[in-house]
Amino acid sequence: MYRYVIKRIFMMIPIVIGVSFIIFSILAFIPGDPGSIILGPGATQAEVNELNHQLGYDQPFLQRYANYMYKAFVSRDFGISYATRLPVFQQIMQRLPVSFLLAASAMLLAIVVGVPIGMLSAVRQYTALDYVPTAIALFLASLPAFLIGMVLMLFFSLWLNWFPSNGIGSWEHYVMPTISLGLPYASFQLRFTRSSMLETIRQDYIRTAKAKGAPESSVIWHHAMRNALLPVVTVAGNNFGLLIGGAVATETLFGMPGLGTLIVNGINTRDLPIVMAGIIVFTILFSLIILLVDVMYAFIDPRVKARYTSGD
Amino acid sequence: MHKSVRTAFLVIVAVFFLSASMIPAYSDQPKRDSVNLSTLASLTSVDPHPGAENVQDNIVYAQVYEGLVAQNQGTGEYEMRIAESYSISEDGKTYTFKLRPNAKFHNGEPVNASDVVFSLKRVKGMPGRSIYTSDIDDVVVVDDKTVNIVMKGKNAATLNSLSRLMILSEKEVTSQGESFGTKVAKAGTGPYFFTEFEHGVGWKMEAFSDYYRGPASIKYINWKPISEASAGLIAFESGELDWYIAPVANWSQLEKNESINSELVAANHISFISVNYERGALNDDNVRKAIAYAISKEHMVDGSLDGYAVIAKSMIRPGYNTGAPTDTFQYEYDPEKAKEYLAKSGYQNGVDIGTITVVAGGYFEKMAQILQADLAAVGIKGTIRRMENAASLAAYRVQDYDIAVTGNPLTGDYNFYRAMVDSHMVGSFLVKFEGDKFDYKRFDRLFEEGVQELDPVKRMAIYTELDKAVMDTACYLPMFHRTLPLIWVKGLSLTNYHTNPQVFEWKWE
Repeated sequence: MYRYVIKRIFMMIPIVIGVSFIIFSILAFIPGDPGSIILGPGATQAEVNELNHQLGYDQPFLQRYANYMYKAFVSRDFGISYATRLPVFQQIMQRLPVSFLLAASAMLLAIVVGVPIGMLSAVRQYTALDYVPTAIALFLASLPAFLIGMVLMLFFSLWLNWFPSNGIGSWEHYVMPTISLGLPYASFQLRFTRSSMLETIRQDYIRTAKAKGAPESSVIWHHAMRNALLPVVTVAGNNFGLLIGGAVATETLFGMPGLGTLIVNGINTRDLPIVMAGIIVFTILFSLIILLVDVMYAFIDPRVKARYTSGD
Repeated sequence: MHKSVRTAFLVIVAVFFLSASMIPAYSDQPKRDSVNLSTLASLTSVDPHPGAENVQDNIVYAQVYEGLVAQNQGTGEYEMRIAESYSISEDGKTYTFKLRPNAKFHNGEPVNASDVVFSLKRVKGMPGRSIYTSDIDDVVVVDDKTVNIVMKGKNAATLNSLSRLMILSEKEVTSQGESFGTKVAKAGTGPYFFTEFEHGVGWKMEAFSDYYRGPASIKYINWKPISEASAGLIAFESGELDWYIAPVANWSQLEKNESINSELVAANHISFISVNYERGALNDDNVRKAIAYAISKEHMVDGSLDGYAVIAKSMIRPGYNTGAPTDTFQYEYDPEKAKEYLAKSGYQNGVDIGTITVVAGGYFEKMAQILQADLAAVGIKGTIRRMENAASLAAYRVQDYDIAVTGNPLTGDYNFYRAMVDSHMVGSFLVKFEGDKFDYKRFDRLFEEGVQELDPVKRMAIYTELDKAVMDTACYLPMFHRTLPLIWVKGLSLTNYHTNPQVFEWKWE
């Protein structure tokens, strides 16, 4: 098991190099340069060129990439933001908890709401308990998080004055972003759990358990659920990873300084150190989450654990 | 199973609603000694001079930093700030400023002439501010409270430039070194000083008790960035903000809302169309003039900003901007005349002028669509090329466009137009007049003569000639000046309605 985990961690190295190279290449070849953005239209071309030179932006592409990676991973220096002159690593570490908390709370909401209702839908297929949640899930899945957020803002901030409409600083600030981000994922979890559960309860071993006279609750909870949850955990893990860096619309709407917004703003301003460091941190986090999901498999499914132990 | 699942579900729902109902109503009501404000983007830096002038940052800096003089945003007049008076030498080159004896930095140190020298020399070495600093030859200490600013020649834009250059504490800036700008500093002289600064999250200010004009009535300012305009409006309406520049699309509802204060204020900004004469058919003077006559500014204002903008007669708006001509040439909407010019150019059956470049989203894109329609009505075809902001800036710098739809904030003096026309700025922005096509040396000369003319009447006459000459090229076509809906809560008394608020002048009734 440990060997597997260590092997997977080492496998992250080529992934990080590959992703960083692709991002660096894209940023290098799209039009626009940091000098123009930082100095704006009022500056002369000479001033823009000088600033690009100071930032090392006029160096050959591969040299810039090699310098960046060397500094980042050997000197552990992710550089200084072109726009704010703040250390990039510091900015990312400030924003990561916000994104992490938002993603975790949204996923928790998605799981707490989506999984039980999905199971109920499957167990009570073709009843009102199936149709109603499925219809609601479809409706929510069709709504973008941005729109849900606006409705929540109007309702809970403007009319009821229960929650602040933007910013961070207290748990109240996270309520509406969590709901607007979590609800579409909850509907996704619901539908996925439902279909996974439906597939599982039609398996021979479930039929056998029922034929042997096991109570329905025991069949569902002890036999079906653990198997049905395997793909659900995979999807939840993937979604959680994606949400850490991908909740840009929600972060923007609710004025939350998260990692996704930082990266997107960095792309808009050609703030290369921010974008590179943000993507690298995101890649590492995502890989770790996927690894964690794989390890969790072992605890959910003894067959997987046996495979790790046997070294397959 | 059925019962247990149902029970669990009901418990979750009950807990959710119970906990929600137990949450006290969110109270971020403004204290009477503070105001809550927002900007559309996070404050980039605490240093007011590191990069390009940024409208959002300037709103914040206006509370903390001051120059020797300030330009009144309502009248365009110059008012003394850190300097209490000034005089100009007989040759018109040397400005002698007497500093206020009671002006202090936020760290409690007095403002001395050496701080002025330090600040102006520091900013002179910075890129992006050359339009303000390039005419300054030297800055010299006369005594602790007197400083001479020596210009390269007579310069009518001196006060405008100095109003844009903030005076910082040499001690604060040097002690923070490279990190100045990244954290709270007490380097300013304005009515407020920073007490907190967290990039992307918010920043706070407190009234400076030793401010030479007296402490501000409102003691604290809490800022936060809200980049989404609709979200900002909701934040205002729910009481989280006390003053806000609302989206213009909401103005018709806001102005009727009697529970708030509102004012539609003209911004010192120009939205315009730039025609690249170096591209294909656009090299033909008649084609460019056909374009100029084909565009309806009314269509532009109505279609892109719901009618809430002021039609521009020139690129630099007169009134607020010193020296800007009031009587200049402009192209009036006349499709028939446009067709005549097109016929003169030999394109009576129409012409494809290539692309209309625009930053995607926002009102510029609507302007591009209206332009496309107006041009099509007289037989000129253009395809809209949408770009993101960074890519468009890079394209404009190297004149990689056919027609561009864009805008610029103005600085308060006609001299700013140099950045868009003068050959010394060639390669920096949109139209490169230098070459055989136009008498660019005449433009340069008139800019030079205009900035050296200290008599306002004569100066405006020079700029009128210049403005007409540039307009005749039909390369820059002014469309409109934006208006911004200001909204603020009842009980907050504003003595100015500027888009760049001066909280020092505000008070709670």
